[in-house]
Amino acid sequence: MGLPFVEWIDDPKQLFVCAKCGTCLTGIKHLVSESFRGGTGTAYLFNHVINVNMTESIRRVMTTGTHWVRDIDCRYCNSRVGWFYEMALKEDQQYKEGHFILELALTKRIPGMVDIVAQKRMKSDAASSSGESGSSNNPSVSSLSFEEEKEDVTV
Amino acid sequence: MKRSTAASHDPASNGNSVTNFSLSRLFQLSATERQGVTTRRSLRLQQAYERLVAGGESPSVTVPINSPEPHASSDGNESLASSATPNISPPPVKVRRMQVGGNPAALNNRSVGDRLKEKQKDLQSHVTTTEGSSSTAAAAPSTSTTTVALNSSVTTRDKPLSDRQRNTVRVISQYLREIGMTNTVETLTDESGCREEDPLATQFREALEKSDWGTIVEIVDQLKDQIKESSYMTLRVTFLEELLKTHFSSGDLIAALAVLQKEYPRHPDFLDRRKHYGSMLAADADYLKSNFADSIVMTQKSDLLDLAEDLFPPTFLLPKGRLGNIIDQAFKTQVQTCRLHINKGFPAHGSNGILRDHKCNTLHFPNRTSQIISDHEAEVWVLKFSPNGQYLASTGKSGLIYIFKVLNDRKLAYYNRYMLSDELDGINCLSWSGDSNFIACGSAGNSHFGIFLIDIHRIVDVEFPVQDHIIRLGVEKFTVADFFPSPRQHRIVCADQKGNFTVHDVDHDLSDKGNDFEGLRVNGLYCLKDGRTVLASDTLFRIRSYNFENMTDLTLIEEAHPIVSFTLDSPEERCLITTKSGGIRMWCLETRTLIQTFFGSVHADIVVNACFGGANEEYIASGSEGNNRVMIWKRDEKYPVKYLDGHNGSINAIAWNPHFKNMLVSGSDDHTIRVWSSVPPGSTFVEPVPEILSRVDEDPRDSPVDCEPYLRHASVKY
Repeated sequence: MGLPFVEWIDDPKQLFVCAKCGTCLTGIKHLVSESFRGGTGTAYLFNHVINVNMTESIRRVMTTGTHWVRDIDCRYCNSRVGWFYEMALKEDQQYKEGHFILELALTKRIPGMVDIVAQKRMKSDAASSSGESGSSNNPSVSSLSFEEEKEDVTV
Repeated sequence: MKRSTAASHDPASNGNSVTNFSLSRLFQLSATERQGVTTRRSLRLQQAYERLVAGGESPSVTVPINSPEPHASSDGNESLASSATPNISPPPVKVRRMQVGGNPAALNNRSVGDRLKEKQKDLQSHVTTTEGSSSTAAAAPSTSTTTVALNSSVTTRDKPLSDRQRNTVRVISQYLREIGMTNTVETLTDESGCREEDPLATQFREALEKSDWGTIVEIVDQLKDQIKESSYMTLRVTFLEELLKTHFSSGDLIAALAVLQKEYPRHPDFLDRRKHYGSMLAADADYLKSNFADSIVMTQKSDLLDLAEDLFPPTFLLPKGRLGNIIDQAFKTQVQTCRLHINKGFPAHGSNGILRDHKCNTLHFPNRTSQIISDHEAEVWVLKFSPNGQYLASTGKSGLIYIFKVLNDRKLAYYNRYMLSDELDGINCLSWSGDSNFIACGSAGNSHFGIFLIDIHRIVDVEFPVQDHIIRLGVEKFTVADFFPSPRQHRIVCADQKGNFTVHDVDHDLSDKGNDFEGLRVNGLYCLKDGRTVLASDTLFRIRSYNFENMTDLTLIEEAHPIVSFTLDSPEERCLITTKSGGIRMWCLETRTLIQTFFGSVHADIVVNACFGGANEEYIASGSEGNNRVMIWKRDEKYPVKYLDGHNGSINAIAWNPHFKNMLVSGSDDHTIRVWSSVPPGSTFVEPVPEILSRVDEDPRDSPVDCEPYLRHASVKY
């Protein structure tokens, strides 16, 4: 139904993208917990995920208890990536409510990118504070992200 | 303004009451004439009546007609003398109001008997008058307004003309005089009591014509009380200097000296000028003559007139052609408020806003589908007209690019098509080169296939998708691209959402040697006409400008919502941004402020492009999620002025033809492209049938491979 519009998360370190189509889902700054397991293996808990469609609320029994969850699909390719906690029936599980689970097997990690305006700000901060240490940092930051990208991108 | 008396008619009515009664009925004025508006008909009636009266009456009666009028214009003209009294035909017993008993000057010329009769009628009329308004016939009270005579104190007028009315009458009489109806002007002036111009002003104009500076200075002096001190001084000095110049040019130094000594103001501001002219006196006479005889030194009469118009009191001099100017201004305002005004300039027909407010009907606005093209068997995502307005490129989910030729403002014809690659998810970005010969397209989504450059005039075999003549830039890079609008070069800017952002010169080198900016996820691009600057929208809700020559960049606009797409108008002053949940917003690029938000369309999930269009790029068209309508806004109004219905799926792309201002093209999810145009006047409208243009019989570019037998559409005659 038309070309779906996809957004991106601004995270300089790492991004999680859909394994099938590469749509950006979230960044590592939204990571809450790493100790979850899903049907395909390890899963991470995030508090903010974009570009996903949610199904209706389903009552599911999990190892930690009964929860109401919604399954999450990538908006671009409609492939499953995880689920969303709507409500937890046990009190000590309620910290998960409103958070998203992304299964690692269904997603990929790519390095993030420092935004151009943020780069400039870093440069000017560095220049104002100290001469050499600042200037040596910046080329490494930008060149790192560029090189890593080239390795990581697969067709 | 003295009035001529109507006493002449009273004896007539008394004498032959029967005949005059019927006659007067015959000459009864229409309602407007009774209201005091003089028309040609009433003039003729007056003259006929006069002749009738004069022919059958005693000489004593005719004397008042010929009495010398204080009003200069009616000298020696019998019909004109009576033309000052438009309300002339009373019924026999009732007496006309207007001029009776009001004119002391006329009184002197009439016999005693007449005066007595007049007084009698006065008393009668005062009894019979209604509401104090003057009436021609009691049966039909006239509503002609009374006027306060400019120079006379005796009047039976009850309602003097207000200033506004008076000025309007002056403007009207100026207009009438300019089109040559001097008789009417006389009548109008007489009746309303307002001269078009003060007699002083007329004298001023005449003196200016004759360069009679002395008179002008006197006139200026007369107006001394009515204008500001500084204006008075300025005027006086200006005209005095003109006077001096004439004296100098004629060599009359003694007169010049006299002027300088006596007339020239001794104000310290003017000291320098005075000294300057004083020093002139000492100069050689011949030198002076030659210098000042040269007309270049003399100030232009038109400049002097402009100066006078500025500084004199506003009611003194009437600017030329005032009524015409006012009507033109009114028409311009009507055009501005006309919501569907799509034609530049004034329409040749119609009353030009005089009788009715101008309002375009939808005849000149795209309002009907004139063609449905269903060549794409997939959702249509992008539509772009070439810069010269002759071709339309369209593409969508299937990865096929169709190029159509614009035949007229209603129809397209198939021109060419390309297939890029089977693996594409679709093409979502298309850009024309400045010379309308090449197209750059980028694939959708996250599959970075690079940018394909296509020559639109080369015919290809669709079986083999990617061939030599298609240039490919940046494998595994680049999703969006834009050509610089220059027709001479082929420089293209490519970017994607992984941080690549470079400019390539396709004519010279295809390798990746261009400069690039890092740290950007670019969603949309727009190259400016100056050939150096590129605007790019990125995922952080910003639009920034980048200059690849000196590697500078600047944040122009920071939005509060994700930017789906953006575009600029032709003069590159305004930027139209489609945001995800903030509506369509228009920003001013120079001041970087938000000008207008357009309501009515929904943008949440899919990419919909809006565009400028129409005459002066005053309209904005866009599709919307959720409904299948094309929405058109006027640039300064928040709500749409027009909806175009007809599509069966939501509309993804819109393009407005830069050449034919009434042609709009829209592409939607129902696999069709619709051409919207204005219905020609007088024709019956027929809903067009969807046609597949690429399979028209006589088109030589038919693809030799037909996958399935499609219905052959009847050949389209244009």
